[in-house]
Amino acid sequence: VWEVSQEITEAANDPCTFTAFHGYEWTRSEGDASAGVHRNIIFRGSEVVDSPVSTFEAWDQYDMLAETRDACEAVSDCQFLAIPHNPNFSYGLMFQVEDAEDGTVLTAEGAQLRADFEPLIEVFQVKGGSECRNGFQYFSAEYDEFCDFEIIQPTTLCHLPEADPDNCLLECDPERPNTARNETEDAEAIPGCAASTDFVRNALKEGLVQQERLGLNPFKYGFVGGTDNHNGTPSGVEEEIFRGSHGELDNDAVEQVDREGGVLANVENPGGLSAVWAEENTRASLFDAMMRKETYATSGTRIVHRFFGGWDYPADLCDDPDLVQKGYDGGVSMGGTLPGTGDAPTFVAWASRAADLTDADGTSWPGTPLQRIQIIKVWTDDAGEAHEQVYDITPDPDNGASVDTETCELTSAGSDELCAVWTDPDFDAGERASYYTRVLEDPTCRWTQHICNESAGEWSCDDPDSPEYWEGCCLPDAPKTVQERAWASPIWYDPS
Amino acid sequence: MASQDKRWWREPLVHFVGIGAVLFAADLVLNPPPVDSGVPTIEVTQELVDALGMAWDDKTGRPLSEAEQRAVLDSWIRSEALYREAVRLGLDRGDTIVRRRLVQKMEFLLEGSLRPRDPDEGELEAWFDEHAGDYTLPARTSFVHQYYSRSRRGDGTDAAASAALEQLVGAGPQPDPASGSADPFMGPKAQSGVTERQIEREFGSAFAASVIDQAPGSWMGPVRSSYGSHLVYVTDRQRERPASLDEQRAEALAAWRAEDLEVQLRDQVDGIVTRYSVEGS
Repeated sequence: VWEVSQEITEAANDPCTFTAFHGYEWTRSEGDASAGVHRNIIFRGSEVVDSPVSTFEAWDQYDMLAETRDACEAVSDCQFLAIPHNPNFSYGLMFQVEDAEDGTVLTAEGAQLRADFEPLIEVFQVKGGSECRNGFQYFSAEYDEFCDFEIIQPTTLCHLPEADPDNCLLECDPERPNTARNETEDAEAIPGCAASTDFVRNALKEGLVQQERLGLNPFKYGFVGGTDNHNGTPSGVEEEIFRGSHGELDNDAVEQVDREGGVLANVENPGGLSAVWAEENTRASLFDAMMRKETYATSGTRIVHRFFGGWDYPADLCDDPDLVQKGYDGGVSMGGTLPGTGDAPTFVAWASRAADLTDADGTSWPGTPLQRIQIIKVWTDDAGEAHEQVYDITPDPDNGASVDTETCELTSAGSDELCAVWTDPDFDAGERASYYTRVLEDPTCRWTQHICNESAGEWSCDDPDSPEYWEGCCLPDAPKTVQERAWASPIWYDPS
Repeated sequence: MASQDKRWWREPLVHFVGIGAVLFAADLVLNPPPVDSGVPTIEVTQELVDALGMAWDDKTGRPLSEAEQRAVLDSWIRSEALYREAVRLGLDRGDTIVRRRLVQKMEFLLEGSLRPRDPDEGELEAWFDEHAGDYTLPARTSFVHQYYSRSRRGDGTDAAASAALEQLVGAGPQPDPASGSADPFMGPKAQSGVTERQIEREFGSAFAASVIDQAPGSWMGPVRSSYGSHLVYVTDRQRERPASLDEQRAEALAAWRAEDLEVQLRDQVDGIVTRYSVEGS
């Protein structure tokens, strides 16, 4: 199979037009207790391992990385990277540092493996968002209104205590702090626990904490997004036409819109995308850009985004046609690290909405206007405690934009472009920190709402003859809209 | 949904055949035909024991314990007995899944016996001429542009671009994207040898459609993109045209080989069909 896969990949690879990497997924899965530490393994060139290290060879994620490293070293010019994927589905294992029973999970050797071969983390895909989640914060954190975005597991949401809904069935396991088990009465709901160590923002925090302990940051991750839709349609991310992704589990309208009954249906989404800033569209160039984390993820939209950090950016850099060149010249791009100089770094974040496309059938796919750019800072203080803070950096973040959920028309519009130069007002030169962006679009109809609207003329919510699936369209807590977004890889500030 | 109603197990004919098969099987079980002289043997060879052990090792990463080996062998013997009994009862007959699996095995066998061939030059040329329509090189263009941002200039965007166009045209024919009052643009300032599909990803479909056909050698505009208005200077243009064999040799060769293997396989199956006399309508 590996040989056949390589032949197909070589045939598909067309430098400067379409790049196809050799790769495969390491997918350990057996019951709920061991799922979700999957890795996408990608090779830089045609030189690959003789045979993939599967779960039969290596059950443990660190063993897999070590064995793949050894197998790749045995082949000249072989280079690989591993992308941990779907961390929100890892039952707390993806960024686990300590185990209540066995003590330390993350050793110095393990941290080295992750730092060497795992430059990127998947923050978004069909099976949910992994950026952050209210109620699952790590160390200190305030409520973040944009965190509970396409949360999939468990299906019942728990917010901070004051926001807890009555139907919250989440229970914490005293043996595993910051975890919660899904004890919903619905037998088909997803089993297992959700944990703070499932979320990327927490991993960024833990990475800074571990850097103090181990001398290197095991979770120094840039961001990518994926589809993983099991449909053979990578990057098929349009909300308008998404119709499920897991075969019989979600292949009819009942499963798609009924939030109560759905295991892998309503709570899914059409998936995300990865963007890579590279010199050219070739294997070597893209691979090297991924290794230096010059990437951003999106929730499926094709926002274009730049993010630079440095010290001497002028306040009017956003008006300069040479913004990009000056961005590189005066600092680092997304995924880079700024050394400590004592001065607060300045950041420039620039985004434009997705282009308006028309397909071969004449159907138009307009880009959605942008609402705001945020910078999320995470840092550690002198006591080794980690913190986070969200800053709105563009004007008029609450622009009043909304969407008519019956027609899906936008009723007022945000911006084609947003750009801001921003200096951290709370900077402390002695504290490790990382800064990443979140670019939000105006709200648009969620994919399930498009399905509901298709039948909206025929049924109403109080009509007893309406079909079974229509009930899902009438649930008061079913999300009707979505705010698509992009996340740029962090820029780290390292005072050492 | 409509597609579900077409599932094969809902066909009345399937029900009829299925119920018939069950009755027939029940009759054989309740009234077994007399067994002739010897009792059939299930032979447990050393090769079989080794193979089961290796399969276990592959699956679990460790060898079988003695108790596990007994259990695995016992399980294998029971399933072998059931398998033989099923064949004896003819349960493999009229079974769609068994039929499909055996057909698949035959196809694997036949495919393995095929010999990949390479065409000679004349053969490939003739084939390529026949399939010329499949090998077209898309139109490509190279251009520079100046951008006038709609979010910065609002209703005055086109006017600003038009005013700048007059200056550019007056300044002579040389394209200089850095001159004039252009706004910062997220996409590239210059593009070289790009197709319409490549342009539209960064500028939108409408812009791509109008730029791809422009003749080189002069400034034009304003051309509207998803983000505002642009002044565009096309430096080079290649129209869509049929590819030559040399330009698409690797692709053509791969397609020829795939088609040749398909023909070989079809011939093999035809050969097998001729061993049967097909009757009825």
